[in-house]
Amino acid sequence: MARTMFTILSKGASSHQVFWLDCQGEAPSTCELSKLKDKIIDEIDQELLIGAGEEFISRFKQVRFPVELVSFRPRVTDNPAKCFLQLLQGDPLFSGRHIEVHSGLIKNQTTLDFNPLIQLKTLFRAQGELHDIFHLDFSTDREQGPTVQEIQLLDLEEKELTALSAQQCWALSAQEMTAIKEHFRSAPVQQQRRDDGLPPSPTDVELELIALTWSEHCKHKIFSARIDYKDAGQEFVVEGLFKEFIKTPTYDLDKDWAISLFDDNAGVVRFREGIDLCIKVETHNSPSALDPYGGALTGILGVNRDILGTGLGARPVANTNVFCVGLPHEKDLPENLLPPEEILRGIHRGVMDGGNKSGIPTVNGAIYFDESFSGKPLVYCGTVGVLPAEINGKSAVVKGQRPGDLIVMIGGGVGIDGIHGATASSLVMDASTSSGMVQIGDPFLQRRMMDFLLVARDRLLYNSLTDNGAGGLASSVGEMASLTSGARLNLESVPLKYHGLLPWQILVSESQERMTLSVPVENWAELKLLAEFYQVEASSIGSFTADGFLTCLYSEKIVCRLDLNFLHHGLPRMELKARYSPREYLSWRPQPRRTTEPHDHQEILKGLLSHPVLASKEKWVRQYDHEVQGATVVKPFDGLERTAPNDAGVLWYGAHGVEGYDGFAVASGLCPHFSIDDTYLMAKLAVDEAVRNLICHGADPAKIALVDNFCWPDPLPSEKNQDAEYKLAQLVRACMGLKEMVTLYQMPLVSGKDSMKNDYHGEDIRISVLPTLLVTALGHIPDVRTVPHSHAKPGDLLYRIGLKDYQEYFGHFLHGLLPILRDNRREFDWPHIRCLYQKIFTASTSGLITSLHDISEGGFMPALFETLLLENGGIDLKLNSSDDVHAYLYSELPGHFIASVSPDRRGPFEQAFDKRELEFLGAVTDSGEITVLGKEISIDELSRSWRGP
Amino acid sequence: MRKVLVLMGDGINSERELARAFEDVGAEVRLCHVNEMLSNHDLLRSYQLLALPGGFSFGDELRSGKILAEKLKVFTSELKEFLTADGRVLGICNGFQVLSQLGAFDLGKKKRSFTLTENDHQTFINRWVKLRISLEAKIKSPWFEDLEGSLLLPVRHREGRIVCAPDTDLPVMALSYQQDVNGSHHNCAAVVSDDGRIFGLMPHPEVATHAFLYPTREGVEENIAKVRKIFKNGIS
Repeated sequence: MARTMFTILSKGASSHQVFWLDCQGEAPSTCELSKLKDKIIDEIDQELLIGAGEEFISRFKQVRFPVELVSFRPRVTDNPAKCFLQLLQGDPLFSGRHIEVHSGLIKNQTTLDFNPLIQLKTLFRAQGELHDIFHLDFSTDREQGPTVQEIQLLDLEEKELTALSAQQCWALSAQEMTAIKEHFRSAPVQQQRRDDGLPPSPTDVELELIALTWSEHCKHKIFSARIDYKDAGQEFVVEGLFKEFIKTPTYDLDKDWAISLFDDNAGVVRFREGIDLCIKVETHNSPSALDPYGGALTGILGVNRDILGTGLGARPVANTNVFCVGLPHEKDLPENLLPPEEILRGIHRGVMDGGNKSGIPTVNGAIYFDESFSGKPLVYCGTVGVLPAEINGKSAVVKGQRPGDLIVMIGGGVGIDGIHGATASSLVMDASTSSGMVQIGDPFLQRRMMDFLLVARDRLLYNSLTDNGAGGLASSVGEMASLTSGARLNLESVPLKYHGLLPWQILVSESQERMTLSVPVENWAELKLLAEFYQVEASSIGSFTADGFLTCLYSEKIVCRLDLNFLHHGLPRMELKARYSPREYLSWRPQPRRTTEPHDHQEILKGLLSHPVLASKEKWVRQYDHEVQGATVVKPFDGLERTAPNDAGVLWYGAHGVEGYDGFAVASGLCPHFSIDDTYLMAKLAVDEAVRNLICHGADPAKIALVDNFCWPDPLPSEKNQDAEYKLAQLVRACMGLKEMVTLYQMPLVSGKDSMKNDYHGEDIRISVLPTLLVTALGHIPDVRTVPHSHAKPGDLLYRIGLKDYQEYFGHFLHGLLPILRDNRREFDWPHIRCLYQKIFTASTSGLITSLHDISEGGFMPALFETLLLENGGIDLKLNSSDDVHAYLYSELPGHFIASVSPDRRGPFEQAFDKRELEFLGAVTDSGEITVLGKEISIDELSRSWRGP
Repeated sequence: MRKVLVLMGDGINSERELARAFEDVGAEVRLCHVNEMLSNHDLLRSYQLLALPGGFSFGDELRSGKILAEKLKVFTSELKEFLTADGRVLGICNGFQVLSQLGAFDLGKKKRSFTLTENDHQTFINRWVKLRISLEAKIKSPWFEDLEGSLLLPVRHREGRIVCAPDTDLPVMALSYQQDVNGSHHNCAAVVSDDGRIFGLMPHPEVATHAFLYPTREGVEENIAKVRKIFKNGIS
């Protein structure tokens, strides 16, 4: 191999790109290479340095030393290099030669984040040292043991089994390991194995497959467990949280528009004829803790693939994202934890690249801060997709793989990346967590795959598909095989990124941008041709069968043969205990209250608005593309020079090939701070918040679907986790709250996920996240032309809508500023609130409401500020002397809104509500000031606190 | 009326809304994958308007538009022939970047006159901005016939700052930002070629076609009329 280096110097840039070109045989001469110049650089403001040695270094004069060179570690996805390679491959200079490219960046120190798990860094102080970068070793050859190993476990004791599982990173319990041992010891299995030429004990391929299929990530063992729950007032047994609290209440609602629940990659709803909506939200917490950029990027691209893999394949049309990270400026973090600011920068960039480069608008989200997320950030990525109701007369919701269909893998090749990702997300992070599960996605490759897939779908070239996410082929083929009752995979036919992968690694690798299709033999030639045209790799790697087994071959020998019934149903059910009594929440690092108490409402309001949770997120959000695809009606922010936020994303169906002016809205609800009081309350408030946000923009409460995503601290008991029974009880209570809301609000849960190991273990510290439920709501909008936005204008009449309840402060954020008693254990009249939503919807569709904004974190005053911000309006507030001032101004009550109404609609608007539900606040002026208790508070001044430095 | 060919594939991602915007003013539109156009050099002969939509072709690696432009270079003679036959070309955002990298605005000249590079604030930005239509464009380009005054459109880019080559100036500035958005040369947001047939712009007119897609209520109807006029001018 001969190596040449290309450096692209860009005028005025803080970093410069470097490419190493390794080329088979003798390297082309510098003279020959310089012909490539126009191909590589932009002559107007770039310069290309080619070559090696002193000559190169002496020309390196545009760079100010010292500099850093940052490149990817071997086998990490290197997107710039992949594109550079495509550029060179067609050039006659390299025809018929094997070339390899790696990329890096030369930049001044301190300019960017650096992650040692995936990157290499070399520091150069003087020009002479630059020699070294020519010799960076990118080789991927590894020493190989025997191809397939037998895992001797038939005679092991329970303790030895547990040790083996821990050593191999399988995350299987003693009970599970024993179940595997017993299965393999049984006489029929032994007979079968002799017939197949397999050893008596399982092979590594088989055990890795079982470990993966049985991982918490894939099987949701905690949500299926039998739980014995007890608190001061009650005692009961839960036969599976998922079944009792999610599935049953949803099925009981019997909504005819909820057409696919729980068994596909996403939930599917039909709010109108002709086109269905799919929704899915995923979390990618562990990968994002290790590499924020790659973790979040693969998170968003992964959930996009879930949508692509729903039914016969849906088109992603909207992304959402919610991040929970540690507080900014957190000092003295435990070993191996990245600073929260760095995590936020990375996950934001990942989600941004994932959405923007795929051409999917990011329409809704939140960034939440709390010290409990310093140990592990939460990264929620959601996607909504559209699926035609029918394709050539065939229902697009129904998957139909058949025995005899070919198993076709499309997208990128398989590498070592992500191995043990699914099982590792079932392990708690500690200082020794390995980086094997870190990987970077390739949105460009995925976009090409999507273009191809939607054409193949419309030609009905395949019968079924699913994505290769966590668990790779093992998971996708394993799931699809359970519907046909069998599959036969030839692991050698799987395309690889590089040599040296063992059979088990090929099976479980989580390399991104791949999907698995079930293709009728007669369609394979056409599909293959179409894939070639779109430059998407497609390989036939086996076929579906009906023999009841998942069989894998390697070198024409059987290396895995597992009974699908055992694989999918042999997992012993967990039995757990949950014990609850109210207790005080102890933060790992309590945040001190401000030393000086605010002396008036201006100070309180400024204090609230500058809290990281409430403060403006505009600088982050503007970096997402909100309106690619031309469907986004309500964007995160309205306005031109002066801007203010909305509450939900609203999209127009018309951009997706159907007639009419109806649309759909997506919003989120998340309030982990109420877990400090009770997770039962937290869950209910999260549902209400998500729904409330939709109601603001005119959604029909009879057509709202919910998605639940639980992120919890570890609820499984172990020596290190003495508090597990309490955490599990918190989970049960949250599920109880969720179920009640589903039933009371009559809104089904159509999809959901859980992530159960959100803890960090240091030497002498454990950081657990606040129990967090994200509720995402998807609703129907009858007419996008008349949706209310969230801003009042001068001349409008302002009202507060909501059940009046202002005797005692209810909420969280005022506690950071004032020493008031915290007592949030309170019930709300949820059926009344649900009824209020119906009234708002009717008033809104009758054109009675001009704008609507919900009251959430910080209460009424921050919501009032946001309502008046866009038009710089003003209002003179008159408080009711019988109300508690703090309760009225700052309570974070569910079901509360600020509405603005045109004066000529005053009569019918007021008639639409009960006196108990409505309060007239006054007319909006153009003063740009809120007057409260004799104090005039300038909107512009508040805006400065809200926007921050 | 001109028939419109809208390119797609290789990371282009705004092709559907661009096709819709042309269809809304009555055009016959066909979406065409880059590979199809490259494998059928005669295809363009059946069309009179070639549109390159926005997106992230080749992931914006190396420089936005660069790699797709390299791929399209084999097509330069067909493009010249197309323009000679009074064909029109539109490039929006990434499509503009591709046209710029192709040297489409300086065909027949020795060197390209300008390029599009990273915004001075080094971030991607999505916001609606006020623009001014230049008189020179109105005179020189069919795209701007009967159009003047201001225009309101969203920008969505990271590499939209126009930089001119030393000692050269832009072909024809067509739109300028009324505020500094990204440090662009003379606040330039769009250019047309000297003959006016090629129009490249960073903002996205294809999503400014309906009042409910705007983040503001002021002057919307008048603006929509102008946006539709641009697409109409393009096809007439």
